[in-house]
Amino acid sequence: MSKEMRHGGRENSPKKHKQRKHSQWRDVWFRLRRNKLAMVGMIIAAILVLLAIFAPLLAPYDYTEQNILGRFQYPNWQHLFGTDHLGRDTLSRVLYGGRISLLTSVIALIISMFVAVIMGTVAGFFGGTVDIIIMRILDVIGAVPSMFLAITISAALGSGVVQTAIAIAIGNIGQMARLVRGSILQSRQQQYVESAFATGSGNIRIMFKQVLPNVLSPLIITASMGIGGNISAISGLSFIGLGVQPPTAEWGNLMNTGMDYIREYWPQAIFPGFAIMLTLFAFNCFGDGLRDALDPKLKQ
Amino acid sequence: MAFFEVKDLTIHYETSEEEIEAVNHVSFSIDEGETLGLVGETGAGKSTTAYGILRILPDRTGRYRSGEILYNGKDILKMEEHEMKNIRGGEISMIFQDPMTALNPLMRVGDQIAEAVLLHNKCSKAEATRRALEMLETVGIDPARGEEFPYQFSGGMQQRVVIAMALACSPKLLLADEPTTALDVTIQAQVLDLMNDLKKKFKSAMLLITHDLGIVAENCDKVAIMYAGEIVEYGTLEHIFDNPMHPYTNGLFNAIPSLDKDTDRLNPIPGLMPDPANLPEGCNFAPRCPYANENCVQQELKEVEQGHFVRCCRVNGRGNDNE
Amino acid sequence: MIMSELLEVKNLKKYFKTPHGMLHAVDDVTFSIDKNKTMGVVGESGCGKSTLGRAILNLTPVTSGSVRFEDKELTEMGKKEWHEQRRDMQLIFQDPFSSLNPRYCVRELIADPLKVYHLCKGKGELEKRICELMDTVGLARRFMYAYPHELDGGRRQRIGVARALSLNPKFIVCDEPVSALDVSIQAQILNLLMDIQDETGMAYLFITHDMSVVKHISDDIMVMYLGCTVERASSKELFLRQLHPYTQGLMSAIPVPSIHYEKKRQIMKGELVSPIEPKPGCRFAARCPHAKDECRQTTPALEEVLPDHFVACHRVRELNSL
Repeated sequence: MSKEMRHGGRENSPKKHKQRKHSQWRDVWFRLRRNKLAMVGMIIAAILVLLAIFAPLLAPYDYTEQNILGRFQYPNWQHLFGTDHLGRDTLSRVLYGGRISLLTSVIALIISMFVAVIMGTVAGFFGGTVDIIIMRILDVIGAVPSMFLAITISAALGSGVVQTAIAIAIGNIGQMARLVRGSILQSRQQQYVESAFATGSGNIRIMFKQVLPNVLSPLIITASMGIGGNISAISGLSFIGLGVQPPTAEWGNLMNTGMDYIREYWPQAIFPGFAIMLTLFAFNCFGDGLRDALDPKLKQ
Repeated sequence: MAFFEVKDLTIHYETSEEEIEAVNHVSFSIDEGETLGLVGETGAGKSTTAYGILRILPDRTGRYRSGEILYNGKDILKMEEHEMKNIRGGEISMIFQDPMTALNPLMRVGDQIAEAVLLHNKCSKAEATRRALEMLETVGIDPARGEEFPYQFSGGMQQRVVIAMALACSPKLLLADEPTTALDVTIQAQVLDLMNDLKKKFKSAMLLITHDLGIVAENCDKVAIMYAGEIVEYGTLEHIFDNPMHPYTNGLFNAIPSLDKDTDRLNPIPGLMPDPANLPEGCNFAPRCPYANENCVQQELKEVEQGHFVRCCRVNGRGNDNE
Repeated sequence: MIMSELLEVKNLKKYFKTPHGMLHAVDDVTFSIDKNKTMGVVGESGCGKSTLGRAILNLTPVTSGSVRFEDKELTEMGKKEWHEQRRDMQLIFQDPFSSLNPRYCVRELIADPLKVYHLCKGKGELEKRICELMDTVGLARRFMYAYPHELDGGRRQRIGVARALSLNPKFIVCDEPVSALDVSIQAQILNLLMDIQDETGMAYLFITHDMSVVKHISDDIMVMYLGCTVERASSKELFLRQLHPYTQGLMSAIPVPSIHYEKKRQIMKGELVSPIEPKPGCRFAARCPHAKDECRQTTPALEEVLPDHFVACHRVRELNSL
């Protein structure tokens, strides 16, 4: 009698089974794929990213090329989105603007995630005084409304892509660090952490192998939602004249300039606004779907 | 005449990926004042049966595929929702496994019981409160503690509160879903004792869902053994404990370490319960059954002696030919 | 006699600080386990049995007392020494759901301890060892890349056992390893643990609340109540006669799966309270049907009432007419 039989199992078939590595991520992808809205969001987001990357190739005109005679053109076959008050092609400007908007948003996201993961992990893992100090610092930052904070920092740092990204990132750190700390605290209480300790793992190994991987999925969700949020914040900053300055095209400042003429001529403000809306919609749908796919228990 | 009867009840959970056959063709009846023990392992469909009786299956997935649930001759499954509201908690009430989830953490326990009373009786708030405090006393809690919140009670005390709530409207039938599994043995003994006393006092019948054959032996009149969504054996306490016929019932008895006998090795039932989304062809138990052969087919419950039913094709009407 | 003693616990105390005062989770517990033997620890939730297991394994620092393993004093060990010591002393958890990290597959879960101690040189050796362990615990090879959420409770618990066995320990604390499992699966795991003991001469500290399980698997049994040992004897002796009123109550509370078993039902009143700043006196006195003034004033010591049968009760001789 084989050992398995004695223990009541009956599962070792003589044939060697093909060893498959089928990870949780495949399940996630499977669930995500069936969520139509999320897939639409993902596809739109992907197209937007591609458009931004290949803007120089796709843009029909140079985005700074002025043509005073041909200004305020309504959409036509030469200028699909029309031209602005200086006769520049709006389509080209929106394409280039997307580049700046997305780039700034991603940089802001990376900065805030990087700082948040370090602060949250240290606070959550070591606890005690370290935790208290870090959390109080974040509380102070969190006490200021994030848009107000971004305006102040942006005004202090001056305009430019990196400066704007930093201004936006600082406002996001608090919330993200709290999220990281929360999931670290939660996974630290899991029995498998004690189990790893009992089988000889040290603190560092436990941190990297048992605790940090659990932070990944909430972080991915926040990131995918955050891109949209950042874009709207960046556009907001540019819209009020901070952030990225003309003549650099950015959706926010495109809209801002367009607003001056909106009573007589609508395309200049509407198209960049539409681009912002579409981006927010796409990333939020995708982020929502990703959350449901990563944590199916929430929905059922 | 049984006042409560479940006939050919089949409940499936329908998800977009699969159909989970949780409860299949389950029939049983309960007489007034009687306790029926529903025994089975995790995933056997015990709780689904209870939820099905109260029509509190998850809306999105739970589906009744067949059967009727007769309460005083009336089919619960055909009732309007407002009729159901009277039944739920009034005529039939339920005690859940985990008392903490059954109690509202933000409400004083006295008020929670009073609310249950108000829901099903036309009476004033003061009357309901009086009744609630009375119930607390009945379950052995100082009525003064009615002012406290659930978290201030220990697990055993919380379960007493849940019992008080369930019995507040003197239900005709009590569905107890593993009421003592979360409790320690000494507390379990107290709670079971209390439930039996109250059952007599209120003349309620009970469907006691459990995985513990010991609890069944001490508290039930009839027993139904459930496996993979089906009742495989059904009879009186004597039938099941003195003359178990289904190989699964026998397997269960053999797997329990005994307190009064010395056994060197336990005899586990080999293998696992089949996945209810993917039941085997023929007899559900055949893959784990030591007596199974290729002739084992899906079998109806067969009456082998007066009131003793077995779902096994190798048990004939006169006795057990498995041995 | 002294030679075969593997683990010796003497006057072990573990107190926790709480807002309401010191919680005496384990209070003055003494026992020893020989090689190839199983010591069962029984008690209700909150009696300190899990804390005892964790204190022995240094998963929570002890307050005072001594734990000797193969004549080495564990309570004085440093971090480095403990790291080596853990190879000999392992833990199996109660909950096979939360004790396995859902992100790792069976292979990674079993390989983890081996990697921590660099026990296998090269991939081939690691692979061989993992297969060997999976065979030992009766896990089919086809589950090598399965994730815990794809497996049932019984198989998950087998992974837990394989992890504990991977370092070839001499002693395992089993913390309610079968409480979360169905009876038919429970029997499979109990058989597995007993087979492993037969093959390797392992010693177990088996923590459970289930009297029938503890009787089945243990050589000696210790009954705990609110952090204290109330009765300790060999398994046979204890099931032959229970001398402490708490043990008697515990035994009579167990529902017996037989309809011909007449027993004197003795329902214990009251509930466990937590042992925060306990006053002197027997901790069971509040629930004891036989408690007298003496019981409420002085703490009874654990005495050898019969050969190798220890009881902590003032009135044990009188009540059992010994």
